[in-house]
Amino acid sequence: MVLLVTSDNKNFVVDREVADRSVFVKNTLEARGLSIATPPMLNGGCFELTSPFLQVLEYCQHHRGEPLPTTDDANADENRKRTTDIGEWDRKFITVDHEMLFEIILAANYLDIKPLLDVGCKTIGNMVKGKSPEEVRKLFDIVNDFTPEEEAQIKKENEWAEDP
Amino acid sequence: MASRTRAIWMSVGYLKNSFAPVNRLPPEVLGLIPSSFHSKRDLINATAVCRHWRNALLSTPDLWCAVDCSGAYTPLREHMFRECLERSRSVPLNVRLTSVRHLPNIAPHLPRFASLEIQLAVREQLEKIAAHFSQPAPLLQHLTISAAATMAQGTLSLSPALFGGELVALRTLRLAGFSALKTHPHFPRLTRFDLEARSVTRFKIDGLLDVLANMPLLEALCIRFPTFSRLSTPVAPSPRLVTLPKLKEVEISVLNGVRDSSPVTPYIPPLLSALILPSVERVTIGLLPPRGSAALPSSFEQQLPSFAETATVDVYAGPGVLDMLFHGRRGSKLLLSGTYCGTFEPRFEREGFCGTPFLSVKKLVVTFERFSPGVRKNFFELLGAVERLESLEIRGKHTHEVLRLWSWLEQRTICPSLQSLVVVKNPSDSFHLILTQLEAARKSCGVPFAEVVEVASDV
Repeated sequence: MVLLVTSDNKNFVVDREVADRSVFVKNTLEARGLSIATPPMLNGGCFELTSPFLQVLEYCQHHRGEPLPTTDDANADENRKRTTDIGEWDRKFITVDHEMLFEIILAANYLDIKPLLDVGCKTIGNMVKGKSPEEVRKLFDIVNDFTPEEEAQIKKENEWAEDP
Repeated sequence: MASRTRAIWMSVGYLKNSFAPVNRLPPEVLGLIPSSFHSKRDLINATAVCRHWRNALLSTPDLWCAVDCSGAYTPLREHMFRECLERSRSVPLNVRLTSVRHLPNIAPHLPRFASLEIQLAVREQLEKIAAHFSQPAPLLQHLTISAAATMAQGTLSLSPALFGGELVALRTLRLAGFSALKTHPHFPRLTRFDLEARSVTRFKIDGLLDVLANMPLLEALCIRFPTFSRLSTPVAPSPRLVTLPKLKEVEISVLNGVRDSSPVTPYIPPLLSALILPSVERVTIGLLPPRGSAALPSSFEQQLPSFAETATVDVYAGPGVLDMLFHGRRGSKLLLSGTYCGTFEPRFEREGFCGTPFLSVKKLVVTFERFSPGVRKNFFELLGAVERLESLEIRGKHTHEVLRLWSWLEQRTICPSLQSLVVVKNPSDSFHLILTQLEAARKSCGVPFAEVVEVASDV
């Protein structure tokens, strides 16, 4: 068993197999020979892990025992990223509000859980696909902040995108 | 004044965007989002959302590594071609080339090619490409060169000058429309080789063996020949032998069948007999698509002994398959697949099956186009020759045919080992009726085999 302490001082006791889904936790434990991992600060600020961490733990619990993606097969990694398919369980798991989705992605990125990061990014990718820039802005509450020079370049790229 | 106001407005927008929840994602994570996009439209749209997104995506080289050098030259294409190359920085490139117009621009990037797909419209293009791609491509893992079907017949071959004759990282090589490789570079890491020959006028078994001998790690080999007509002159076997120790899958087939009753191809027997394949697991030989009345060469069975004990052999052909059943090898698992056509005229007698070495065939897949009485009779006799049959899959079109088959199977004077029968039929044809009748028959017959019927409807 492994004790994981979030940056807001919540303790979670999990099986080693579950904890090892996170490359960050796995490496930390192996390097220190400890059974306690305390995620450090992120970007100089406190990383409020508890809420997304519960979600991440649920994901790790569900996928425990599955083979971890290896770094030595670049082709497999590339194929995994390029496919848009998301498994049934993962799809239900990641059906959360935008705020939580971003938190889960941040947590997955920080804890180095590549399959979860993929699921999160593909989910956003599927939201964005087929939408115009204006529709994406509306979806994520973003405004157009381009300079006229950038707009000119984007116009060119748009013509290119239309080119068969 | 207006421009200043606009600049301030842009800055305010940029500041506002920095508080948008989605923009909490760091650039390296935002850069992952378009990885699953398959159209440049979606990618370009994503770069046009806001400056944060644009900066993140433009600084993610992996998103720009697909370089398409196709279509006629236009200033815009030229501009974007250069932009993509610049944005991809130094990451390996996946290049698609159908026009030689961009060769001077793309050639300097050859050292970072990871994959290259070339579609040739005319023979001269290959010469130009060879002239520009004369330096080694040390990262190139996947190479596909396809000649247009409209290209004039003749020998198309790889020049020795291409890639400086070095393809040290190549994992897959696909050549369509080629009949020879003039040069025989060493392919130390190649695991898959596909060759689709369009012309056989200068095809040489020895030449191909020379190439294969330089592929020590080959795991999959696919050679497809063009349609033959009356090309029945036997090809002399090669005196040499080539061992491919890692080869697991091999397909040697003829595209589009044959037009007469000549042998499938004179090349299959000598090619197979020259290969030693100690690790082969799956062998596919015959006609694609399966049709016609062509027979496999009578010497075909002589090649079987070179396969491993565990190999599964897929044969796509007509009655030649049944010829092979007479002579096939004991211990082989035979997956008989293909379509029996209406012209099928079996040429064997019942006693011919006695003592056949294929008594140990365990799995059989048969497709019926038309289950005529003659075909059915001989099919039953075929089953009589496979006493150890454990799995039988029948693909039929009509309910009554499958029901007849079932009524025969109920008698079970043969096939005592049958454990699995899968009947795949056309779902538009009284599917529920057959399901009901088969289930009733299963219950009443005492079921000597464990799992009796599975009816699928995916024909």
